[in-house]
Amino acid sequence: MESILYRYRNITVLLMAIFAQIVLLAWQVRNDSDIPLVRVWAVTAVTPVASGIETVRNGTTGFFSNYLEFKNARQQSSQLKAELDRLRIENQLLKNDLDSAQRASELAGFQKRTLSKMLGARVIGSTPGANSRSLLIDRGSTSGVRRGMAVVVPDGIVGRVLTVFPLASQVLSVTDPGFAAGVESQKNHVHGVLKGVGNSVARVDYVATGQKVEVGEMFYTSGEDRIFPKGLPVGKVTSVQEGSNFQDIIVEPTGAESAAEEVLVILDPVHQAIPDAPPAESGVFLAPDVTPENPPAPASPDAPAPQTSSLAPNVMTTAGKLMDQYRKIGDAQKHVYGEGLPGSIPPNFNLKVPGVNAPADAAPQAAAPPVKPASAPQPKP
Amino acid sequence: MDHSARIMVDNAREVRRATYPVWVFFAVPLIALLIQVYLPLFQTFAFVSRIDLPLLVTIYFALMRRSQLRGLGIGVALGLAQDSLFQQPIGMYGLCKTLVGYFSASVGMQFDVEHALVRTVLCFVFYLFHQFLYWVLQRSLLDQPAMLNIRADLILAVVNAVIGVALFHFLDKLRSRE
Repeated sequence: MESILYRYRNITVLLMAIFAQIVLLAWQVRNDSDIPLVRVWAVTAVTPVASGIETVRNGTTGFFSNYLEFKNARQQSSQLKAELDRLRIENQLLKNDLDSAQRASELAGFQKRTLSKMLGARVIGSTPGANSRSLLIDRGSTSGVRRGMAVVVPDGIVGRVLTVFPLASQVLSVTDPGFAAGVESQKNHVHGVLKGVGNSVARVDYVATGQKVEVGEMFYTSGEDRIFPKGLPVGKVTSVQEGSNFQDIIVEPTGAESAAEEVLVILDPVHQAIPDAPPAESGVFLAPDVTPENPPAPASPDAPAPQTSSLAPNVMTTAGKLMDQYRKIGDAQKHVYGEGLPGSIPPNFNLKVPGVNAPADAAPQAAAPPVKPASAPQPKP
Repeated sequence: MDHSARIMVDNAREVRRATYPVWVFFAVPLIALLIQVYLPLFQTFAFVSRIDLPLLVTIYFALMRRSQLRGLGIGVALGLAQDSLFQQPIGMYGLCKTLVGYFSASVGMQFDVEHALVRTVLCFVFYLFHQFLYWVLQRSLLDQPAMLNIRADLILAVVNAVIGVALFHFLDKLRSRE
């Protein structure tokens, strides 16, 4: 028996294995139940390895993912850097535009409070030589510019027109050795002649020894040269040295530095008084921007009326004031100066115009009938 | 007759049993099961579910060990483990692989199982045998209306045979040196 079993050992084991598994299957199918123990073994054998592989996979995927993200971040960084550079350039251009607008505003303000008729011009070039300094502006004879006209900025005088072309003019700078202008000190009204010395400063000549000139004092145009109207700022005294006959006075021109881009050409000069106080800084005030952090205040009926910006009152000579008064009286009668032939009816300069030659609340006086000009004597035949 | 071209084993003395390190008997089936369970989770490797790696491993060890009992044992173990992991009645794959392991070992004693052609044909035949047996068990024991797609099974048998030859070549490297 044993030998038979041994002889058919393999097939016996096979049949036993098949029989056992069929019974197992039959039991599961009949009872509709599972054999959890076998499953637990199998899952326990496989799960740790699968878990380890999954960890390694996640790590590898994470590494490559991080690498790709890093690569993208680097690319993005380059793009942002390029964008930043572009925005910086754009910002610089906008700043330049803002500066130009600010200067234009300053010039407009200066034009308003100055009686002289002026023409705005843009500096389109400069010719700084060893012994000469001049500017090129974009206004010429077609714009009414003529040789010898004064060129100024709100901060001071810039120079005078040296050569006029149809569409441009050459301006001799105040620092050029060939430049000269009559000047007058602010405090003691000491007169002298401003001359360029070839660098960034100028000299005031012909100020006699003993005349009081202080360092830091301002010099203004005196109007004696018949180029610059009286009362324009020239420069600040930086040094004063006594000489044998005349003082050696060095002035730093205040307008030369500001004349970088825009200037004003004085077409019709009107003299003004030299102010008692030095000119105020001509910076333009900008109100704070309306931002979420700085919202505008709500309108209230009790709120005081906003104050209008007060400009410094024009300092005018008596002749200037009289001329202004006549101009306004003429305007009140709709008279245009320069029109009308000789012998035509002039405006009534005795007319009382409120705010001009009469109190502001006074009723305007009826215009007197124009005086008829005496008829010319008829030539007797 | 050239040795490389010989398919049949002339006598029992020519039957040589391949020996392997012990860890191979644990690691290789485990990796086969793992690949079968884990890789199809990813869409890219979904095709792996069509390759019966535990079956190929069963055939290989049964053939190379040339022992019906060992082939049977490895078939039972891998079949039951596969049943456990695939959430189906335990014993379905167990029965199929038990028979495959036993018959593989029986055939392995008659042929030169290191011959690539023999391996290919055996893989092809035993894959079809396995599928047929499984279909029979499904219908007879579980009373499930399973269909036998002969065309698809033939194609898969070819694919499994090709992969089996490559796998056998790799597993040959794990043999102990005599």
